[in-house]
Amino acid sequence: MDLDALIEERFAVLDRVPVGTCVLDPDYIVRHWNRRFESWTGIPRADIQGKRITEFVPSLDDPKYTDRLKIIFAGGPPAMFSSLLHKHVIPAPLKDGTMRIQDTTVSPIPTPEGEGFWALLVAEDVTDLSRRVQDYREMRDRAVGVVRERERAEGLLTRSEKQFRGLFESATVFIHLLDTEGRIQQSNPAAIQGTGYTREELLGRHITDTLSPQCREAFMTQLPFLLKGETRRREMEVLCRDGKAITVDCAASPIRGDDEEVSSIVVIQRNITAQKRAEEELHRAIELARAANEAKSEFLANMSHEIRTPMNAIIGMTDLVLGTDLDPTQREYLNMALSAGESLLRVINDILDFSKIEAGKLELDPIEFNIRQPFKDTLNVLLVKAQAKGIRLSAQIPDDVPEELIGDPGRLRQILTNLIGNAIKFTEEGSVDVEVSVLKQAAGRLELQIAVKDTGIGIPPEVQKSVFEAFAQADGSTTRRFGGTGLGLTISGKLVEMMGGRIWVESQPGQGSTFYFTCKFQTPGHALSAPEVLWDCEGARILIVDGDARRRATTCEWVANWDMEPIGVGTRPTAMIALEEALRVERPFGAVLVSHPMAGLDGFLLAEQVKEHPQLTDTTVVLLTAAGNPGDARRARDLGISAYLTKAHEEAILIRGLLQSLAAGPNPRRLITRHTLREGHGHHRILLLSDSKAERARTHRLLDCFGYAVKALEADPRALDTVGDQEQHDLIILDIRSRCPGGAAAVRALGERGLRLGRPVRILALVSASRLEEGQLLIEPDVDEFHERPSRSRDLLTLVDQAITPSDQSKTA
Amino acid sequence: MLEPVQLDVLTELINIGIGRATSMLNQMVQLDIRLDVPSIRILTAQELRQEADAYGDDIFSIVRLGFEGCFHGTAQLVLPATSATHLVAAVTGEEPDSPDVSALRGATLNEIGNILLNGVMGSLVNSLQGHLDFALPEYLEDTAPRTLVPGTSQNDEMVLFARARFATEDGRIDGQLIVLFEAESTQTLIDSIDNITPDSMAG
Repeated sequence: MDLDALIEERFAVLDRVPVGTCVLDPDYIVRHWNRRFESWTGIPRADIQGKRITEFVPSLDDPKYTDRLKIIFAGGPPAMFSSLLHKHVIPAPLKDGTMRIQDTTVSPIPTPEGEGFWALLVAEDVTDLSRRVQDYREMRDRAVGVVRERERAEGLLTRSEKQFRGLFESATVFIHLLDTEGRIQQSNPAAIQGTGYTREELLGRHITDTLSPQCREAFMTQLPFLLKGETRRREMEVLCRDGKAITVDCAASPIRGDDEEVSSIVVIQRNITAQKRAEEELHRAIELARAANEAKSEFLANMSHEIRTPMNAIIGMTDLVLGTDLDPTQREYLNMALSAGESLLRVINDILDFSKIEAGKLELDPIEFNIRQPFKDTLNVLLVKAQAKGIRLSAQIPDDVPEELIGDPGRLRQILTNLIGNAIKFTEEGSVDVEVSVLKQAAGRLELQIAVKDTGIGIPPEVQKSVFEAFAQADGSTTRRFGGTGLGLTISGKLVEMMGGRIWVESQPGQGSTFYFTCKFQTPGHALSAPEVLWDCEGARILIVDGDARRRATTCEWVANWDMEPIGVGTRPTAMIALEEALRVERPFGAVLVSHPMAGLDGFLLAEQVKEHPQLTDTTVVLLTAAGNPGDARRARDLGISAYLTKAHEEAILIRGLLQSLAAGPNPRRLITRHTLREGHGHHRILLLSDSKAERARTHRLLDCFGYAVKALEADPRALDTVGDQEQHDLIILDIRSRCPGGAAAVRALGERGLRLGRPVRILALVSASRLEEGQLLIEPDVDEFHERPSRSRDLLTLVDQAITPSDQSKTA
Repeated sequence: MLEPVQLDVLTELINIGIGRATSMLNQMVQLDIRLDVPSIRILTAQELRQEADAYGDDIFSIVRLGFEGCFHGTAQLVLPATSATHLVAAVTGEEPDSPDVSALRGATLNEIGNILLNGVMGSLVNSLQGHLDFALPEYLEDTAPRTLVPGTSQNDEMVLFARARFATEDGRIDGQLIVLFEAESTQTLIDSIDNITPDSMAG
């Protein structure tokens, strides 16, 4: 057999394998080329066998193949040629040009002759296998990814579970995990320790079994809301195993399962028993303090009544005695008593005001009033003190400040009295000046700034702020040196605040202080009309109710002097009987004058009784009191009382108030007070010269009360020196009781003064009956009118009225 | 046991093979791969198992070439999976995460392993003048212990364990070349070594 046949026979089997096979000898001659290679490459066996393979596949000449084939031909280990590395099919590209993935193995095979080795190339198409491997790998990678992700998640879950378990175990609050019916599934150690139950006792038990009876229902009410996914929190009471109750702040929240449904409920309870107890104790303490404070307020209110009632009596009676004939020593002593009584009453009022401020009970009592009046009143009162120290005292109210305002004149007066009083107190020489200016004026509103300037000792900067604090004075020594409660500025500050303003001080030690305050008022829509006065009061029946017989008699006398018919009674029941009786006989009283409070008579109570009586409700009630209490005016207005008159033990005030009340009729729009009496007057200025101090004061008050602007001086030519040249008067009244020569001198001085100023003034001379003849001789020739002094106020007023307006005979005030 | 001289000779022979294999590989692909001087030890089967266990449970890409004849055993290229991926990417010029690399890595690694193993074994065969029959190289992805330890070996049988590190400069490819001569062949190998060693040297 020749070699070719031998080869043919030997390699015939290779035509039957599904891989490409090729056999090369060491000279690269193709010894065999199987059918698969024929079909893959399109190179027929007949063409390639016996030829060098490099003629068909030149790349095989590359050393990277030849080097390795050399080993094969030497019988060395088989070689692998991968299609990826070599980028083409070995030994040739496929016929259709496609790139297949092909593994080619080259192995040595013994030559047919048995000497040396040939190389058997086996090319395997592994495209499909490779694709399957690829698919498998992707699948495997995906599976691995999923597994790893799950493992990671589980790891996280485990960690998170551990964390939560740690939290649950170590929390100091009680934590219970409940099923949806409220049964305990888990309880943390704090809950077990805190309630005293064992874990076994708690598990499976309904949560309400651990709650106090009143909380059980509360929890069951919450349960449906929890199951709906809401959170609930409230205070609950937990019952411990030993029966002890613990107050807890209990928060319950639903926990949702994977299906988003509420699967369990977590209840967190924080023990707040101690906190609760502290709160209760605090409440109790506050309650005690409040009760104590209320007791204090009540005590002070009682004190107010208990102290003020006798004080009013002391002052009122002293004043009454001063109106009688006294020798100078008696008068001096009584004046001292009166002054001391008034000081004491002021102190008492300060303390009461302060306690009211503390209790928040201080209220303003707004009425329509003339802004100039409180200034005038205050200055009038304090002028004496200022003059005694040789200090000038003045007040400037510019014309742009409206006359009529709505506010609390009493409280304004209180502030002014305090600030001006202080200024005088702390000033040794120089002046105290009060300046008023308009800060803001808008429709219906007015804001004023008031400055009280002194040239006194001043206030060190470091204590300027504290002067408005209670019980504080510039230094402790001032109290001893200057007296006072130290409450004045505190009260003033509070009052200013209530009036919508503020108060402050500017001061240099040694150079004086200026206290400023602002306050807001309303302006009335209408001008204040001059109050009507019923002059034709003759025959009016007036019921005078006063527990004090002597004063009752005095009042009756004053009323009778005005040709009215007084009927006096001493008690509330008799007053009611008198009133009803008058109705029965159809001679009703024009007015009831009620004294309050005096000798057990509560005027307000009687007023209330009268006003509530169906047939007496239109009775004009005038309340009289020696010294008023703050808040009384409001009470009086609420009851429908016509007038509330303080210092009503003076005839002028009492009668003027009564006449005004009679004119206004029952249930007037405005309450008549001592301050409103003077409103709308002061147009006629009178210079009153009198040689009796007491009479001068009484006449002054009478004229003042009936609307005249009065300046009262001693009937002495020297006194005239105090009258400034710029002052103008419409009338000069010369009231002479003692010897007439003094009066004559005064008249001459007045005449000279009139001549000097080129402004002669009408002079009305009044002389007592005993001096009439002497007067006629000495005085009458030099005066415009000369009269015997009338004993009745009414007649005096008539004289004055005629003298001042000789052409107009109508009686106006 | 191997005499120091024998050990030196064997080390030198394997070293020569590695040198050849490296130059072949570097010629074929533009990679600067280094093969360290191999360490050679005689181990009992049990010691081999311990050695194999040290590789842990990681899956390696392994190219294995079995041989028989005057001595028998296996030559293996062992690569951690990432090193294998980088190696394939380096020699084919593809990106490591390309699907083609994934699909073709078996064939490619097989050839690379083949080149290296051929280099080492071809050199050994030539030097020791013995005849060897080689099985076809195979590519496996498996744990090291399962491929390293011959299934039949008894605990007290001796194996010759040669190992060389195979790495690129940048360390992204780092594998090992392991040649294992099994029990019967160990003595034959020693004899073969003695045959090419002058008497004076053999001691």
